[in-house]
Amino acid sequence: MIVIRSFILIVLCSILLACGEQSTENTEQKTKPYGANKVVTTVAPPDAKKIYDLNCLPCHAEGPGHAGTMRLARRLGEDKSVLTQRDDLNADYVKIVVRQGFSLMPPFRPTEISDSELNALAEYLAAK
Amino acid sequence: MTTKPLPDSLSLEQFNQAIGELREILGPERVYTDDVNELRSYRDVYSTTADKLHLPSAAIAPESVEEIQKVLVVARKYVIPLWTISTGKNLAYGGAAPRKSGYIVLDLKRMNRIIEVNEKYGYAVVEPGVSYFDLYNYLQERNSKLWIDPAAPGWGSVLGNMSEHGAGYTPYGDHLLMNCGMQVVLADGTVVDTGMGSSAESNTANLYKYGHGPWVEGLFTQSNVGIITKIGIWLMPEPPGYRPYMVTFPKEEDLFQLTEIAGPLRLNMLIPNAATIVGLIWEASATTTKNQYYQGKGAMPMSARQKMADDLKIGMWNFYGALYGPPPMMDNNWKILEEAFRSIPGAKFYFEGDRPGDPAFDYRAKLMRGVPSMTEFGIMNWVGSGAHIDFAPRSPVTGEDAMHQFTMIRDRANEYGFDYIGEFLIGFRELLDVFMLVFDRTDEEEMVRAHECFGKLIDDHTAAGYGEYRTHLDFMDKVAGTYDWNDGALWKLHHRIKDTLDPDGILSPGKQGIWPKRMRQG
Repeated sequence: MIVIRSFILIVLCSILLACGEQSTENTEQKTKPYGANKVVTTVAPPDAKKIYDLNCLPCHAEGPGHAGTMRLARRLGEDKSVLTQRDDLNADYVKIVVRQGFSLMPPFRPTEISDSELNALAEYLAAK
Repeated sequence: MTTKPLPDSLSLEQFNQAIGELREILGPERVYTDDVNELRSYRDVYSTTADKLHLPSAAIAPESVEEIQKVLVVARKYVIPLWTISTGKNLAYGGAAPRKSGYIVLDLKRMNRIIEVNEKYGYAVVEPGVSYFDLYNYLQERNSKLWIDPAAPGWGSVLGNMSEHGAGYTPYGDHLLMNCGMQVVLADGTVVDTGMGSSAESNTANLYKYGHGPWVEGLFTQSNVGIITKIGIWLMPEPPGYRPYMVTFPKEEDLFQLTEIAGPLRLNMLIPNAATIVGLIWEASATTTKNQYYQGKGAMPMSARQKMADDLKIGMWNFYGALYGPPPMMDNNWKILEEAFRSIPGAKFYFEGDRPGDPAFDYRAKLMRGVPSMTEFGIMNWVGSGAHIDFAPRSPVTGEDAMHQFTMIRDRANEYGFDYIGEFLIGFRELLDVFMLVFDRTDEEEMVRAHECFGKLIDDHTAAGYGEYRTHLDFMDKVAGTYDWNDGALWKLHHRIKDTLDPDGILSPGKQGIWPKRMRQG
């Protein structure tokens, strides 16, 4: 998850270097990168829209084929079915739903969306 | 006041000591102990049993192999069961929840690096926290000509799904088959690179699977004798042409002939991908809900199902496949396929563009070319607050077996008041029948009924010779018990391996019905 990759490249490199010198209680072990042409993901800083796009949009986008939008349309009506078009969401409510889950939506763990990312996401949706 | 679940045989004081040591390793921000604000997100909100059976005492999130090694030292010292998850989206089979309450969840979501993508040889090396969305987006951003093979919900883990023996829908749909190279941390902290990767200077770690000597990767899948921290996964090069198609069939009985036709075509690779035979309600649920066609209790009657099929222009069975390759090759293959399917009366054919605005066709067309989505999650809308667990038996690819399984499941599900929501994936030599038992978890009585129904399905299929390849936490022991030939020799072997590689019994106890010695019954 891009938003959770709160590493910077330097940290990644140091981790990779460290991976080359793993030791256990009994033996010195060496690991190596797989293959050649190593490509390492770089990480964008936390960004509420990116958090939303990665975690929420696949189910809450506008139009058919989106489970969350479909569910909200049934429960609250078409005019409240698309999260980013709602003006009645408050940040605390968003945070509770994300962490606890709601109806068919499973909860999201702090390893998926950290507390600071959740704050940003909640403010983003509440400000719509 | 509720009591915090703790690991077996650990006092609260010992538990707190262990947590303190884990915080020293991971920092306070990656050790989660708040039962309400943090650990409720680790519940399995789809199980047929109460939450209290699967509540963790804590969750921890290492970001490297070294941190896992240090965590293992603490776990061995205090004999703490660690329940390993990757993205935690093994939904319908337990999600992020542990097998038993009190375990600490070893959450590897933050190990989410895409370590390598090799465009020339067609593979990626990924950590457990990399989802299908992550890998797909990564490839797209770099204009890669490689496809991924996602499970239907795109938030699943590439590594996790492979290690659960999951399936996708492109020609690379058998995910374990496409694994090449694995890194595992054993319970004693030893790091093992498998296959060719175990040779320090190897340049084929992700090209040739078997190395020299026993092939051990399988031991670490659906298993609990090591922690997989990295895998190689083969990626399909984009073919010169792609044509998804759908063929609908009007009668339930058509499943027999359809399976008889599709089996040999798949075996001979005229159908090159993991094609699917999708049941009516599974197909319809992308666009509609049950109460739009039926407001009564129990399973939807045939009259309502027929109306729904007519309205949505879908069949009782809906076959999805795809052609891949140069256009002349696709043209020739299609002639054979079309003639074969047309032999079933009432078959109707659809290609891209024939069903505008149909999200079901759209997501199937995406899946078969490796584009992840979450559309299939719409099935949860079929009933109000849809929860689900999946029943997944395997059978030979014959019409007789397909009909036998279908009618057994349909009749048992209907008896318990549930709809048949199922599909068949056609492997080379086996049918994977996936029945999604969708129920309303806010209705306690319905939850109990779903649990009983699922147990009966296992009994029915065991008696008929069909084994399940994967199951929910609550049924792992029961399914393990069905693999009982020769006095349960296979599970005795699993336990001998478990006791040898993990003598303290700290790694995912009870996973797939494999328990450490100290926790085995009898």
